[in-house]
Amino acid sequence: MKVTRKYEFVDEAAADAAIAALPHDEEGNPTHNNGIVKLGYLVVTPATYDEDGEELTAAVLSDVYAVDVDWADGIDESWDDDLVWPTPMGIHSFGSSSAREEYATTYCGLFPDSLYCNPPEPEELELP
Amino acid sequence: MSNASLELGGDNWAAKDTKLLASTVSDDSGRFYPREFTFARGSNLSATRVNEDGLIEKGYENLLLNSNLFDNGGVAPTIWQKGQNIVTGGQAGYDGTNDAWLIDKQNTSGTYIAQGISKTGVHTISLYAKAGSLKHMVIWASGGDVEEASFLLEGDGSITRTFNTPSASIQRVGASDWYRCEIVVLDTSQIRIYPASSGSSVSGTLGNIYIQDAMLNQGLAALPYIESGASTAKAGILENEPRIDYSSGTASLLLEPQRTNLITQSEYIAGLSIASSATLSLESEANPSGGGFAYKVTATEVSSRVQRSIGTQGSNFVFSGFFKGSGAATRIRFRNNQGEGVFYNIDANGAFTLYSENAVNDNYGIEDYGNGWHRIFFETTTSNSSVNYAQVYCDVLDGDGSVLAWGLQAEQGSYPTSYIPTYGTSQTRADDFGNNNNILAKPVAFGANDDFTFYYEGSFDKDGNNGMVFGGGAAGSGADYKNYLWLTASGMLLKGTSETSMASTTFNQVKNTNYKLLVKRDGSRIDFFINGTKIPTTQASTNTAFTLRSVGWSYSNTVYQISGNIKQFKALPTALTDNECIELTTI
Repeated sequence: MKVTRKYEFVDEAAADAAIAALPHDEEGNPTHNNGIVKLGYLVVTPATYDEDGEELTAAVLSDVYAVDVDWADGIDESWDDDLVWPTPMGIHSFGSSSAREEYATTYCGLFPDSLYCNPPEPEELELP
Repeated sequence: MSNASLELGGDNWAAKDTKLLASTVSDDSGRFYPREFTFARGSNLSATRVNEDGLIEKGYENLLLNSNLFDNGGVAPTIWQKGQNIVTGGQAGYDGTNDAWLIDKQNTSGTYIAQGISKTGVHTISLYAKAGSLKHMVIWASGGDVEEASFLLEGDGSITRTFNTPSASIQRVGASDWYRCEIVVLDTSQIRIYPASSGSSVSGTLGNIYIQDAMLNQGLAALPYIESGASTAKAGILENEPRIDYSSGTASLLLEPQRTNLITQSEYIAGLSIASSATLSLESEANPSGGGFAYKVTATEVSSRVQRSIGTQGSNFVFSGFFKGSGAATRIRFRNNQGEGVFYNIDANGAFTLYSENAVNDNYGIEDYGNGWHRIFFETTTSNSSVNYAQVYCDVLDGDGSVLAWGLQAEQGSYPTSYIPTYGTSQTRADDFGNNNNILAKPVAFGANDDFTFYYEGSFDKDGNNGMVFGGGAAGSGADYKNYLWLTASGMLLKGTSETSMASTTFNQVKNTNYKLLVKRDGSRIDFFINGTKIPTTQASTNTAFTLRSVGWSYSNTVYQISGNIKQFKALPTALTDNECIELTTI
């Protein structure tokens, strides 16, 4: 089963170096089966727009470079120093139900007290 | 060799879990036997195909747990909290079963059954319901905001109140007293179901309703119900299921590279940035997936548009989207914010005509998806340092027209691939050949002096495909990978054992064109045929052994793979006559 993990590097060059270190043949072609998506510098604060749709303030981007990997042949532990665990909501995915479930399960194992893993108990409230 | 032969496709393409069924002759009887062709992909929610009905089919999930186990007598595993209700199963259901539940309200304050579930993005909650002593039901969800709809379970059914939701609907099940109730929610951390005595209040009168089969799926419409248990349930295109695609009218195996759709709301068009006073309405209009909704974008001025940033990118992208006329003439402009894109006139009958284009490399196109829907695409540069946008202007001529829009996509590359749905975040469809296990369970070996005929029908979705049409499997699985038929930039090359060149020919393939290719060995001569014509062939070490283990790739499934559609593949242990080859390959 493929496993998806998320990484943050100091910049794109560092990400490229990690990717290049994965198995390749003598011609430089990748011989691994991992899916890799370079998400880049993610938006931290979205841009704002005027009523004509023109940008008023530019988006604020993260200062770290994000990469998602769909590990096909097991996680490469040499990447662990750059591993991050964003909450499994509203994040890029490889569109795999099983990989998403595995990520969420592992996340809750690592962060059992997080709000994501502990949805609030219902309260008896009137409708708005 | 034995009388081994193989046939994939044609009339026998079929998906079986993670396998493709093929037919083989593996003895001297001449009879075909089924053989399974192993296959792996890895995406379900982001992979789509055109099914036999001509509709775009997706993978989807019921994200609720215990979707029809609202109470289990206090015994695990149900996850529903039943509040101050008595919940009784075994009731007559909408589907002829006794799987429905009676929800009997025991307190005059609002009381409900609930499930906590944390999800972001556009989702639809659906539930079958029938009136008991109470005639109303309320579905409520909280997340970023509260969304709610009240349903009257009587007559044809009706919506009596909505709050915040983009859409709610109710549909009677035949002529029964059952209804399927739906509400679209954006973010959610909890959903609730209230029996109610009116559409405006859940307090007051005690009483009951019947419910059955709850579901939460991504998107703006409820999909066919699938029952979940302790984990979510899946349907549609499943992980690792081969995508048998009918976009060309006949079954073919769809093979595509990894792509990411950076437009984070591909269907919830109202979730994009709305500019210059464009107005949006959710219409009851069957979209290309068969779902009964699509957004209509209406102009109030010539610059009215919807748009979405795809950030700063360093390479060319292809933007695509599905559009349909709204019954009045308009001129749409689909572009990036650098001005690259296309203009199309849409007349009152929904006919599309190109007005002008400014696509990079003049690379643009339109494809008819039926029922008035067309997919438009164009190539765009996104290498500028500023943020890039995909923009849909709905009437640049008069400023008062409108267009139906669905399925917007921005992907890196020079051609559009199959639709990748998104519901709030970018999503990647994994490579179809994502695993070296995509090989034949048993190799088909031809000795140096065995005759053979290999036949392949399919299309390639880019020029200079660099793919190996078939061959000996992965480099990591022994030396068989050195056997292959390789499409180079302008030719075809057949190599056998020890990567010995056997024969070659020129072949200037044109993308998205259906080809029938054939190579045969008759004694010591090898010949190629393309689309009914025998092609001049350069002879090399023709009497070299050849082992077949993979179709659609060889050597490295991540590099030398076919990208496009495979319609049919045959390997025969005999050399067909030239006339037979011409007949077989004639388009």
